[in-house]
Amino acid sequence: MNSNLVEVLRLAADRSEARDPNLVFATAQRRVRKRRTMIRAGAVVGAALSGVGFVALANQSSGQREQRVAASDSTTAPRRVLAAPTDVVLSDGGPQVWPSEGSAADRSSAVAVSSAFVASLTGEAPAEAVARQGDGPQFAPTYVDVKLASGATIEVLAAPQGDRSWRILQVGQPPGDSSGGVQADFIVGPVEIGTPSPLMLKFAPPIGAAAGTAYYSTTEGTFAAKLDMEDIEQRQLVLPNTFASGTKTTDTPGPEPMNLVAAALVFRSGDGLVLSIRAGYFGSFAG
Amino acid sequence: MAKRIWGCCHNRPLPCVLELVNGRGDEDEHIFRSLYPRLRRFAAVVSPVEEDPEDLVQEALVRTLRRGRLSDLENPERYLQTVLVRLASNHRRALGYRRRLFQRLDPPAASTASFPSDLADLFRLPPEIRAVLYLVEVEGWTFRDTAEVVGCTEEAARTRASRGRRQLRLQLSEEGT
Repeated sequence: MNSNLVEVLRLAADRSEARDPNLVFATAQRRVRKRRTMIRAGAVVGAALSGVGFVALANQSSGQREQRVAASDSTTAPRRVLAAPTDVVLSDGGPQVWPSEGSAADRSSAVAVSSAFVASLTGEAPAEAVARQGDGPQFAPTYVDVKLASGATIEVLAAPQGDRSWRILQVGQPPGDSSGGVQADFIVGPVEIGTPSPLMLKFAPPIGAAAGTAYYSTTEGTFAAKLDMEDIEQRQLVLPNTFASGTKTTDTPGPEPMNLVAAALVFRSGDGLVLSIRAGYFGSFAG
Repeated sequence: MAKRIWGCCHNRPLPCVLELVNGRGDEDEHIFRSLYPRLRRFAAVVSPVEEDPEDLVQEALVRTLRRGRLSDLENPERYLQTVLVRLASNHRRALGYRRRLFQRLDPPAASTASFPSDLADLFRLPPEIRAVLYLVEVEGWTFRDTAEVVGCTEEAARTRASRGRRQLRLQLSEEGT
């Protein structure tokens, strides 16, 4: 069987006639250059159109705290986007993990930075914050359990920096698979792989979630979008003002270049109590 | 696999045109020329039977050059082979969908396969299995290296090879009876 198999495989391998490799390479190179030119032209047109749309929206809703934004999000119905109240919390394109270096948040300890972060996101002071120091070294990445008045516990992973201040690595509750780990419990990806498109968050909401807010920081600024019941049921949300370049396809390994820096989801119950926070940091735009 | 997926001298995700003009393109061309015979044979095994393997090689090269230069990759051959397997897998899926659609519109009058039965049996296997069988049986690669190309674990590559052999044996014995 094996010798027969090898023969069949060799036969298959020789089933076509070879072309001139120089011609193949030249054609491929030409196609790459043509596509690059088209992308640049598309980007110029897109930027011009976004600019016009943004100016029109700003003129319509100047002075209002809430504005309706459909620009750069043609895949869904218009969505309410709030002026972000968390500029001090989410970094704005800086190289450091949020809270940003420039923020006024107390970063002197894991407990302080975690409490400040949760307070900024939820608008309420935590009832209690306890660091799980354990037997490890004192100046090492630490989980902090931040308890809210609603009874929810937010688990924050904070890490020390060179200047002995602390930064947040990740926020989230255990995924429920008894692994004991803290994870953001959401994933970010383009609406459509392979073409320039807005980003979509896919998340697992906690039981009882009826509303929420997605705060997200891009290289262009920080935004907040309201999650309604429909979003929570569908477990996904298209983020206006975000984009993925579309150079990533299912065929090529590597990350998708995008303008999202950080995102945080705050889930609330029907009566407005905070149930959970999921947050993650994605780094600055690579392009 | 890639030494540097993003960025070149100008920290951009796409290859720098100036560098291509000034010689890095020549380096890539030289690399591709040396890899071409092996890539072509590999593509002929993994690509769908309806497709010209040369087209698949060109498509894989285009996808790779969009991401950066061949000379920036640690192992361009392996990278291109990975892209070839994924492209072949995507094309097979698309072809299957189109075939089902056409069958619904117009039931088939003639079969498309015009290969000897052994070869036709081989092309009935998924591209990933064909890739594993070819690299292990013909090129003499280890399962570990093969797994890297196909994008699975070493154990999964072994399983695929064994499943492929079993399926071929079954098809041949069915034809015998």
